[in-house]
Amino acid sequence: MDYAYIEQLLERYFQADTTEQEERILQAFFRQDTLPAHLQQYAPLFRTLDRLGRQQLGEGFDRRLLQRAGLPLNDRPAPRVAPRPLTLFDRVRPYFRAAAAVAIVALLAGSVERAITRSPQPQAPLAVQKAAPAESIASEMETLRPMQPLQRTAAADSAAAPLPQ
Amino acid sequence: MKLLATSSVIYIESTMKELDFRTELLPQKNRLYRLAMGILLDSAEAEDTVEDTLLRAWEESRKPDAAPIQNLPAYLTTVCRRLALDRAQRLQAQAAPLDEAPDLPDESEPNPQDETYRRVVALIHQLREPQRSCLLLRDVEGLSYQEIAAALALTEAQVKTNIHRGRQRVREAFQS
Repeated sequence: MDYAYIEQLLERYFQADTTEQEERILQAFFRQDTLPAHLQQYAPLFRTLDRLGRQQLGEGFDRRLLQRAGLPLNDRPAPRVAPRPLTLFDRVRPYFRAAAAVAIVALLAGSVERAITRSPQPQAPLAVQKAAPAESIASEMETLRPMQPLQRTAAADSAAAPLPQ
Repeated sequence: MKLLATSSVIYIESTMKELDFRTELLPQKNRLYRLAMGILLDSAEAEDTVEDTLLRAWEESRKPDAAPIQNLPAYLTTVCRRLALDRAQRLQAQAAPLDEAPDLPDESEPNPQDETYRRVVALIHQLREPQRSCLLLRDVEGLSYQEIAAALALTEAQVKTNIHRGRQRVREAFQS
């Protein structure tokens, strides 16, 4: 593998001619586990700089410093809640909801009651349900008229009289 | 008169800029700690230095006639470095052999490379000022030449020269 670029960067690093990005490239290169023998000698320098850059203060530092500054340890102020004046609509809104709930219950109860109390009716066949023409209705009415009493006529009487002897 | 007094209070409050301890000062603590550690090589001393730095900046910003701090990171770096150098000088006067036993941040976790680490840290620590501070701010904190110049009251050319000399000294030590 060709390490000419890294060697060139290293030379420029020691001349203080590298950019911040190029120095980050060198840091990343020397973070590798396997390095070529001739560059191995610079690994401790870059690894130490990398490790120094990760140093952090301990857990108790903030508490100690805040105590020294006379500041509370938990600085979370209670959320400010500004009172908002209620409008007339805000006041009656719960009643609207209650009324809507009552209406829904009443509607459901009415539907259920109607379904229970309605007697079952056989449905006529579809053919009968179909509207009949006016003439057929008239003829049907005719047949259903009550029977007329028989009227005695002269012709009938004569036909029924016994023959003269 | 009352109105005047009230308006003058409002005027003072609007011109001064009190730093928020939690959101503006505390986030700077770790980078200041690393700088102080590079100068002092002692975690307890470095912690005290960072505490003093942050408290000083906060108290300064609370003064009624205080001018607002224009560049807070640079200001804090300047104060921290000055306090760390003063502290190092004081400790040196007490004949504390600082560079013989650099303090490690995580001594509870044994690391096979600790010896190399100590050697390199001691090497950087032996650099003269401002070479050491320039090198730490550039190679540990990744600051630009411009940012380092603002924090150390140097020109960018002086910063580059100091970094160059510091790195050359380290290189010579590695090659010897």
